Amino acid sequence: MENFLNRLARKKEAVLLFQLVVVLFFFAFILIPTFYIMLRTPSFSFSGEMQSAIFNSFAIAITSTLLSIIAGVPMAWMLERKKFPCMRIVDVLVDMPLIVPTSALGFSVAMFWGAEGLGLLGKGFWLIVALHTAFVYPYIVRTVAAAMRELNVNYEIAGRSLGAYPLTMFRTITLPLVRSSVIIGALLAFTRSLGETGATMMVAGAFQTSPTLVLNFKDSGDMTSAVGLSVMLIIVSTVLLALVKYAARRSGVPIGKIYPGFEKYLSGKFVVRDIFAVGFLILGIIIPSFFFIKYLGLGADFNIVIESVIISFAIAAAVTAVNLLLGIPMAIMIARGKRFGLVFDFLTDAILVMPTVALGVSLSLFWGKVDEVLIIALAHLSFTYPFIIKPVAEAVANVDVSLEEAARSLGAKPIKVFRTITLPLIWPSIAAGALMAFMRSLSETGATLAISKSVKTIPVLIVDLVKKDLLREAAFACAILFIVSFAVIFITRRK
Amino acid sequence: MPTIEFKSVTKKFGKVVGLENASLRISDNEYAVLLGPSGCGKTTLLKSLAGIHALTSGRILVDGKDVTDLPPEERFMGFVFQDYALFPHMTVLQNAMYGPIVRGAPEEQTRKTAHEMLDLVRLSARYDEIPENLSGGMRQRVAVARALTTGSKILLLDEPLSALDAKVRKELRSEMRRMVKELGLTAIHVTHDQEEAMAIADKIVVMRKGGIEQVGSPHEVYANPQTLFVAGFIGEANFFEAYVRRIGKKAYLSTLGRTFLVPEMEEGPYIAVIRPEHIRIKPGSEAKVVSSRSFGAYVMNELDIRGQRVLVRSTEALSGHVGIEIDESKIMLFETPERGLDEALEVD
Repeated sequence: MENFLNRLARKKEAVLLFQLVVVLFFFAFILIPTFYIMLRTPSFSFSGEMQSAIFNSFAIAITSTLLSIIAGVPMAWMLERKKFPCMRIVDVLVDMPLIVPTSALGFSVAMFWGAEGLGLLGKGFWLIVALHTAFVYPYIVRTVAAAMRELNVNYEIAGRSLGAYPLTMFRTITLPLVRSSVIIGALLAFTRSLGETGATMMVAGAFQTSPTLVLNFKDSGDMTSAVGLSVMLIIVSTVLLALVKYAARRSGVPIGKIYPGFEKYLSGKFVVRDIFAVGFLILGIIIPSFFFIKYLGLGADFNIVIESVIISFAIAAAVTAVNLLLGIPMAIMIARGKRFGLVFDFLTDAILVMPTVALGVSLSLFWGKVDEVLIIALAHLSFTYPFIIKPVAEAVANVDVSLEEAARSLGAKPIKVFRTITLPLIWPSIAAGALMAFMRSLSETGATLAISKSVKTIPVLIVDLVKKDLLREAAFACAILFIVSFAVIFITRRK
Repeated sequence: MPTIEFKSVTKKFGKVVGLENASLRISDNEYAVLLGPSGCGKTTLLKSLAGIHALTSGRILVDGKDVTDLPPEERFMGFVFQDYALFPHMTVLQNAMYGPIVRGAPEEQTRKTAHEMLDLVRLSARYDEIPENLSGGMRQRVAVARALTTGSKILLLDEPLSALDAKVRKELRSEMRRMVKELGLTAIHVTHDQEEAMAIADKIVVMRKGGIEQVGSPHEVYANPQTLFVAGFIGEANFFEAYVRRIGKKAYLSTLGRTFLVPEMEEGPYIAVIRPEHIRIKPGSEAKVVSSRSFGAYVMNELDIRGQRVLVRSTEALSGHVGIEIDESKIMLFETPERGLDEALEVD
């Protein structure tokens, strides 16, 4: 095997062929099906119903993103700059909404705020906002915290010793320097909110967002309108991505006005800020996310759940495996390739921010008569692809090339260098990417709902069960998803 | 007019001791250098003065006023970092103006002061550039200007020259000393480079393992080291095992196979420390020349005398066998350290 690989690695043609396969895979199975819908010129009228759905989607996305920024940025600051022992627990808690699949989250949040729990929010706008805030919050906290970790602490110390009160320092030094990460995090949050389907259906009632309307059209057989609205969603999210990428790269922020007295006063209110940040996390995010536990109990009919569990895991495992096989070479090409790197990078980002329901519509049209399970798997292949590519490409870019050169100069052949030097260094990112892809496939709702007719993955089943008011079965399915997710995270985090 | 006093300060990072019971006084308009190997606590001492680290115990007084519990923004001290820490999203001028502006000073006045300070560091022509476009030396000069625009009379420098090229380093250090003297500042400068310390300091504070070993002028710490560590850390030195024997009222020191008459001393084992320039070369065959390296102005030789390595300075390169003569008035004697010579000299 070793010798064969060595010989293969030396052959330029073989390498080229392999790269060709990888790129073809990207185009034939990921990109073209994803954007296939845009090649069909839809003849549809832009109805008032669509207008208001799009307006609703934007209003919800903006509100929940802003809420997450207001509560998430102080949380990120606490996570990175405070060294309380209990911070490790908070650190784990922040990720919880990512671990709880959105459909379970939808069920849980609806129960918490709705009549069954606090009775504060009825189905509609604010309940959707509460739900979306819960699952976009981690995106903001994580991206901002990561940027703050990278930031040289000396900038902040310099600011303080030059006489800036903590809040002034944060506003004039830290925030401008992590600005592009806040923007990227906000974009991720915004597009996630814009595209979320399954959980939103559970809490929307008669209220329509764009993705739920797409599903409605599809269910009622109005494919023209479903396709039209999907195309709109794809265009909007892709344009947004391009704008934000451009905005994030520009720099230069004026100091602006300084209010020494006022900001000194507020800087003294650390405790208030910390209590707010932690309180929001617990009351707004964690408890609503786990409220489904209340419905756990015996006497549920587990048989319907088991079948879905098997389907879900089989699809997730297969999809992750295929993506790893063809995603890692692609990631290396993006990181090392000089010419097309940026283009591929943008295309994978476009998939990442795209509403999955639009993807589902596109794929079910593209693959047409293919077996249902296979279409679902192909759809999952498309939207989990970026989860592997992004972190691995970044890790490869971060590998010091001189390490590989050193190995070459010590006599290792390219394939050996990859196996003994590069692979061990990027391994954590591969594991993280595989984990994300697996989890995303396991918990995805929008695209799966758009394709599914008789095959039901766990999240689709949960939506179904809640519709039929089988809450115990729904809670059981949520619990299975959560326990598995948590176990996977726990094992991979432990190292 | 600031004088700075550390009163038995201790800083622990969990179980690791950063500073242990260190006391120090620095007078007005003094250029003090904290010198020691990495991990000796010199940066910790500086950062606790700036308010970046909170002390575990002890007090810090500035002009007799207790500043121990003040946050950094209320201490009015200029801090200069090894990595410059110029705000990358601001121009040179905006960096220099930052201090007064965040304290609410009027903009016009601040702009004027900032330009004056940039003038002082000879960078006024480049006020509109972003730090990224400047060389390392220039960035550090901007950082000094930025620290001075606040009008603070205390300048704290944390290894400010370590990231610079040797040539730039030498230029900038004399420039910094000149500025501190002209503006009547009190400066504390942290370094691990003993040559740098000798070149700029009024007062050198040698530190080791969280404590202060010796405080004195550059000449004092070189000529009269109080501990073996100081003798070894500053300049080159030979360490020989020695023994003092008393015969009648006289004390005789024997080391390196010779015996010297020394002043009143107790009998017992000692460590004799002799600088390479206090050993003269003379014709003879007692020592074998192992290596001989020219540093331009002088030659440093490594000799072998009965299996002992001896460093000797000379003006010409040596070879073959030579004889030596020790200037006995320059021999420094230290008690034999309990945990051995290696431990006493160890720089961690």
